[in-house]
Amino acid sequence: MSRFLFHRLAQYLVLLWLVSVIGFAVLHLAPGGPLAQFTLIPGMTAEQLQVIAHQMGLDRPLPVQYWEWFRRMMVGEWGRSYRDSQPVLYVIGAHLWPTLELMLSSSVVAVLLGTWVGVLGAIRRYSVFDYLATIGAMVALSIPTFWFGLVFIYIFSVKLAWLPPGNLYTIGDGSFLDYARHLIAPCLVLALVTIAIWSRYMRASMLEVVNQDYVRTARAKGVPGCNCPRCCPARWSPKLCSPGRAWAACFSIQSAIATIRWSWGS
Amino acid sequence: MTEATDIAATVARPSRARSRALARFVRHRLALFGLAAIVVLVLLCAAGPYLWPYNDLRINMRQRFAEPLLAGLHVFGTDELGRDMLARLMMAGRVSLTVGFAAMAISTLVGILVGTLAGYFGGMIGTALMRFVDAVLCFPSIFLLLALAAFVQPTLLSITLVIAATAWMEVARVVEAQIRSLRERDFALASEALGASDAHIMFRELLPNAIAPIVVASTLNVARAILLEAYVSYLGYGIQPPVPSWGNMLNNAQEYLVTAPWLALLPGLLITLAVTGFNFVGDGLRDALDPRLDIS
Amino acid sequence: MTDDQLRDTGHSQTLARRGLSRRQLLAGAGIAAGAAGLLPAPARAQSKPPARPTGHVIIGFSQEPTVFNPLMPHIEVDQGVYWNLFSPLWMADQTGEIVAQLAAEIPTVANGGLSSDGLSWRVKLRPGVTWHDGKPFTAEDVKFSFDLLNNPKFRAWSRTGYELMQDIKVESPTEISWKLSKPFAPFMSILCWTFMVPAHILGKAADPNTAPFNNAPVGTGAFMWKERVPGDHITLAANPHFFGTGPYLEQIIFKYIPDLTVMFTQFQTGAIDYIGLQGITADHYGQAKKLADRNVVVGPAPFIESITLNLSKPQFREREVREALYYGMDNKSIIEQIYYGLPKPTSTYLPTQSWAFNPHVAPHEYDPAKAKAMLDAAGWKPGANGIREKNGVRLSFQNSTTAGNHVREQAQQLLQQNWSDIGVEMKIKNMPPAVIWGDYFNKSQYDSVMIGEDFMTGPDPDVSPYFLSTAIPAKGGSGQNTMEYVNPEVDKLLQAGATTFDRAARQKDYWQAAELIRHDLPQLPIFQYATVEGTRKGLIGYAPSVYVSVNTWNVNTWYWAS
Repeated sequence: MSRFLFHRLAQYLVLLWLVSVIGFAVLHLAPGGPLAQFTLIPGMTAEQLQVIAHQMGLDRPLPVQYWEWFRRMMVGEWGRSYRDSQPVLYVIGAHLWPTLELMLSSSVVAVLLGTWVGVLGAIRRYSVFDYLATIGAMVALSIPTFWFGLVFIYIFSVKLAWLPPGNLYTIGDGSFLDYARHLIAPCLVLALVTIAIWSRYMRASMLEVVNQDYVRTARAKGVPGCNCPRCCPARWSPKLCSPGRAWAACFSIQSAIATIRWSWGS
Repeated sequence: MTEATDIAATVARPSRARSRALARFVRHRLALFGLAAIVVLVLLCAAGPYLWPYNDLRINMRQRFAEPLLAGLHVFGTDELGRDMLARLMMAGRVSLTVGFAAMAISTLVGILVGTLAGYFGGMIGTALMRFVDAVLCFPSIFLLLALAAFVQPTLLSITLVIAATAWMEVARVVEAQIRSLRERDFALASEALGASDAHIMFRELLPNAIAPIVVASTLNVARAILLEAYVSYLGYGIQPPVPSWGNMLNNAQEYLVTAPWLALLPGLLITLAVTGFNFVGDGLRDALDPRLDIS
Repeated sequence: MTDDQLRDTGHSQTLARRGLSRRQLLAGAGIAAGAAGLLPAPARAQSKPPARPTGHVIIGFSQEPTVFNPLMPHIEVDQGVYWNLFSPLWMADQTGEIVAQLAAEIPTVANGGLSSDGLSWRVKLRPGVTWHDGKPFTAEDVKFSFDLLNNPKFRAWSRTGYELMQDIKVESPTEISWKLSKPFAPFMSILCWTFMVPAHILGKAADPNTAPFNNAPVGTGAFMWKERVPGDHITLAANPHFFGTGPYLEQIIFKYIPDLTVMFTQFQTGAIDYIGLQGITADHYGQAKKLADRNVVVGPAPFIESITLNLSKPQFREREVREALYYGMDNKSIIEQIYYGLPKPTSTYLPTQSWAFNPHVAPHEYDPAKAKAMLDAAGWKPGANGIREKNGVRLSFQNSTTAGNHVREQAQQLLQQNWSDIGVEMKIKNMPPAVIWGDYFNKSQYDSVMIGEDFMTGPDPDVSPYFLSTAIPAKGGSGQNTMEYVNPEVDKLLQAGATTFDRAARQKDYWQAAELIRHDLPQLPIFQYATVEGTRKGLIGYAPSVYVSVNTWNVNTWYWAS
């Protein structure tokens, strides 16, 4: 057992290392490189750029730079942002809370709604509700989220003016209700895709469970009402893992979209 | 006598299985609808521009922002430079659908190759390949896409390759899992015993039996590729103007959302239609080719 | 040399090499042309400023200020914050008049502040000025600031002019003197944008590049640093001991909204009181004008939008080709349709507000027939696909601009069609700003670019870094002449203009240079920009100026009408 764990651990360490190499390479080899944002400064001359490059150690050979960066990262010296010399951890940390807030709230909404739709669809299989839910889920997976966000803003912020068009909160009014109002639109739009995925998983696993013998026995015995309390717990754990990666992928794209569309803090 | 009929039955079964799959697909109404939508879109985009009098590139500054249905022959209105929307949507459809199909083809090929090699050889090679796949999968696909797009000149070919480069991993995983399980089966072992070469076993024995999940993954990949192209072009790193693509039409349209909403609504609707169509077809194929349903 | 003339040379200021050239790449949708006299008359008669600082103003920017040490490399939006935190020795107001700030008076020959050859300077400082932390401001701080700029270990935003300073001496706590190693007419104007930093804080830092001061700045300006939420906003509070006018506001908040459309929506709904840098896009102008309760101002800007050509490419070597291309451009449609008539057409590189602007330069004409005739006469005959060619060179080239600027992209596509009608093929190849402004632009790797540039900075019209033959980076020179334009006569005129202090003589030189450049057409100017910004009704004091990067230069005089 420990040999297996050791092998797995070793593999994952190699994996992480590979990820760090790829990330570092992409950042440094992309046109412009880390100096790109300095080229935006009016009056920046080529000599000055070279001076800055030398001060930042950017003219050393790439493997040397990589090793320096890797070594520092391991000991927690994450350095300072190229742009404004602020500690990197501070920059990341400052943006972390709004991102988490959005992810958590849209997850909660998505799971609640998704479960309800999925379970109901499984119980009333092939009914109109199930049919509509399937179509809805498929469409939700197919809509480009940034476009949906646009349409959402158009309808609810511009035409109907029910919801604010952006930001975390209104300056001068930091009340909870204000935060909540600002959260609704991005939360719903982001939740859309996750609702679709989650409802389909729930439906599939409910179907598997509903056909089990013990459920049929319970029904035959006349146990009233919803099957949910019996069925759901048995199927939670495996199903929580599989959408995990789908969620991760979703959230990365969706967070970027929320930032663009609603200037969402991060 | 029984042996002969058994063998005959074995030979006959595959085609009956295929026709059963077809029957299941046809029964899946949504899949049919999806297929119909795709066929209509492809025909429209392929043949439409030849029949429609307006050019998608001709700028007409006097006819800017014409509203749909109110501007004579411009049934879908005109855009910010006075170009006919329907012509642009059709030409953009050509671009988006071509990128979708091509990216799918390339990513499927690469994924099959990597997955088959990893699944068949296993051991060090297999693990190394799969860990590499995992490493690339760690990066959010948008990040990878944008990073790669920054490296290349945004032409049709380069965008297709970049999108394919972010989509082959899923196929590889699916294929690897399938090949790995099929490798231990009797027919594979028999082939090996008969002295067949590795290549023969991989591509003539194992792969054909793993076709079902590959087909499903490919169809869903087209949907994904179309969406990714829309994202990339929307962000400005994809197809460059003046060549239209559904994605870059959305990019230009967002600032006119209030004054000329059709500029944003129409391309988005078409993207949704195409992607939904492919998703439905993929879903239908998954049901049709699922061996478990075959038994019942 | 009269006082007036010398005072006017105060108008001669160039951070020319610091050209706000790159600014334009940051500009979102076209900020259209400048027009003199479009400034609204300030409502001075109506309201008086409050006795004590009251209220707050939320300022919207579409770029984020992130550098708070005014001597380090920064972009234009950072300057918008510096005007409120720090003070220079003197500055130019919106009419170009130089007004003393930390200096007690502007040094001139008459008051002994300036020697007649312009090489020796003696500046008296305003007494009683204190830093935000209460310590007194003295000549030591001025010397420290200049020394820091010349410190090779310090990442200075510019060294032009400062490197000519020698023998900086503190004569007394309120007097400082220095010498320049050679006469440099624009230096007076360079000091308009040189903010003073505290010696007692930065001097103690081990490394000024990464000092904590850079994130908690202390200055002498009308407002003090309060807090910053990165990626969101910066809050400044009133400085009760400010030496100048005001401040009349208790707090000012700089809000960062990266998307111009979103920023406009926030202006509409009142989430921000002033829509600043990058302003209202041309396509929202119509909507903005109709807003109740808002003042929308179309003010002048010093940027000129033009197609900049790389003269080292074979297609552009002949002057006739360049002129024919100019005749083939439908600039009127671009200005009136795509930019809604806000910019003003121009055919030269200086804004109309500058004293060196030459109004007699031949204007642009759209005449495709003439263009075709010129190209035919020059031997460029239509070849395959209707594209003209001569001696194996096809008249086909690429044009790049910063990706994401939709209005500019529309103009590009229109020009593409215009030129294709005269047999010239232009291929569009847009890229992100970071890529364009790297080697692609600096090392003259482009065919042509469509950008807006400010060839001068502030009031000084010295454009040497853009047109001197010694300023070609691709050939090892130092400057911004990426067009690789070489004209020895223009060289002589520009060099004479930068070393003489006689404004009339300078104007003569600059007018002649403008004529020559108009004849040579290394770039094809289209229009001069105007900024379209807006404030909520009741906000008094806003005044756009071509002599600053961002129009928050005078927030110390802003207040709400009561």
